[in-house]
Amino acid sequence: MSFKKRMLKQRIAFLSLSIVSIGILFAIGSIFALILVNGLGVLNWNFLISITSFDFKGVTHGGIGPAIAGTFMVTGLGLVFAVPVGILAGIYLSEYRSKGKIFNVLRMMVANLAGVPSVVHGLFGLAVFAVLFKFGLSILSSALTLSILALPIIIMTTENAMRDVPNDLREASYSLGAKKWQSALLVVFPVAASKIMTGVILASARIAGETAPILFTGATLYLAHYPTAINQQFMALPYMIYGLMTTSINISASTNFAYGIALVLITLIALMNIAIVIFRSKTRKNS
Amino acid sequence: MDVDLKIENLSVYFGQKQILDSISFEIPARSITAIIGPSGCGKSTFVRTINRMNDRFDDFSHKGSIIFDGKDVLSNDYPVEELRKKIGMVFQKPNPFPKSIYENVVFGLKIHGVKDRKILDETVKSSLESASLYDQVKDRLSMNAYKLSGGQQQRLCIARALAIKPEILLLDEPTSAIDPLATKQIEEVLEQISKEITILIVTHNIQQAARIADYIAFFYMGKLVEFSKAEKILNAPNEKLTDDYLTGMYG
Repeated sequence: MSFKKRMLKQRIAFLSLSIVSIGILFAIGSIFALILVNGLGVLNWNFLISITSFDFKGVTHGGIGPAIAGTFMVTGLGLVFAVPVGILAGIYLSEYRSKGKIFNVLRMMVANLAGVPSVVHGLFGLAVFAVLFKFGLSILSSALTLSILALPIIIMTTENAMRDVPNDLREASYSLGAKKWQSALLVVFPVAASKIMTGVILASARIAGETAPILFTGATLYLAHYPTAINQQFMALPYMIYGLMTTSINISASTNFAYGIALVLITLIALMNIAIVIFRSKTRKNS
Repeated sequence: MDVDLKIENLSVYFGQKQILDSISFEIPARSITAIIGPSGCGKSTFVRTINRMNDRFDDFSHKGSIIFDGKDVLSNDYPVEELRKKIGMVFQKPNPFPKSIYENVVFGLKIHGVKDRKILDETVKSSLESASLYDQVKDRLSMNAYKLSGGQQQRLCIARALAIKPEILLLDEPTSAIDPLATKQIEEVLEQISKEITILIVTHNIQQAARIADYIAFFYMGKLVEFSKAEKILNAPNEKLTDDYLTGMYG
């Protein structure tokens, strides 16, 4: 192939890659811009803390305080259940059962669990937590459902983070007479902790934005007060958007309100992702 | 001469592959025994069998025995954690924990239940002194061990191993990743501690064996060719194979 032909090929490849990349950036950017332009107008302090109300024409007033609180509560409580179980399961898979058919099947099931549509999680949560365990439609049922959604993410990041720790360190620990659990907990886990933390934040960003799992298990479209106990129903940001855009009697009047909620939700998730980036760069410097 | 470890007919296999073939010799107490031989002769496998580092590989199996204090350390009845308390190890690549210098040294004590701050402090000082690292780090014991140079890290690993007062210290090519000056310091440390502890060092550096070893074992293709006093091996080996290796015919 001549030099000219090679240069041409190189240019075409570069150009097509650029177009694709710019296209993706444009798509993401326009979503964000749309939400920002439409949502910024309603955003103020009052919007963030006060209680939602509707007038007789169906126009939404007030703020989204209870929905923010509800989202924080189910996400937080969901993590309380998912983090310890997920981390212990991940440690078990990486340090104790790296081989064997049953554990490969288990590993595959964890990966599959991550791919189950979230509405299926919602149905499962309704059948098991709300009905079978009699937790009813509540923050508790929703948090448990979300924790199952978060589990595979936490298990897989923990297992991989633990595996990435060089064997040198395990051997150093064993050579001093450490038992397996001591090596895993005192040597390997601290090294893997920052990567595991990344997985936890990723999981919380994921479950904070979920609608389907809380739809049948405890979220409600309207509450006239902040949630006070975990056996109550609650409002949540993603579900509130859905509610405003489908069940409001005056949808056009509620659109900007919904954009405002979307902006808050996206900002929350973006903040979590930024936290990951900062966390990563910090821990990288330390090690 | 006191005998510390008695190797009896030791054969080691990984799966079908035989790595060591009927090794028998006695390692003298409170001296330095160097194990030399070309790459792949089984010298690393040999020392890692002594403190049962190979146990965690599924396909590892052995025949024969290693007698220490009258007991076979390779038998399943011998508690492996107790064995490793008495037989310490330093590895080829310095592998300090990503913790402070202090925490590195006390790790062994802590996992064996020592909590007394005074004992911990004293052990840190004495172990680092034995590894001639104390003067360089005494003002920054809380510094992360990763900030030390390679040679310092390796001496920290020696201090970490010494902290639990082992009777034998195994070293698997401890200076192969370290510059000559740092190597010299480590050799001096080993000569010093060998007055109290039995040292078994794997090296592919014949000069190193000549500098520090009291006894030398020459391994070739999984077999012990010759074991004797260092001067004897270096000056007048019995076997032609040994002589050829020492004069650089192969390896």
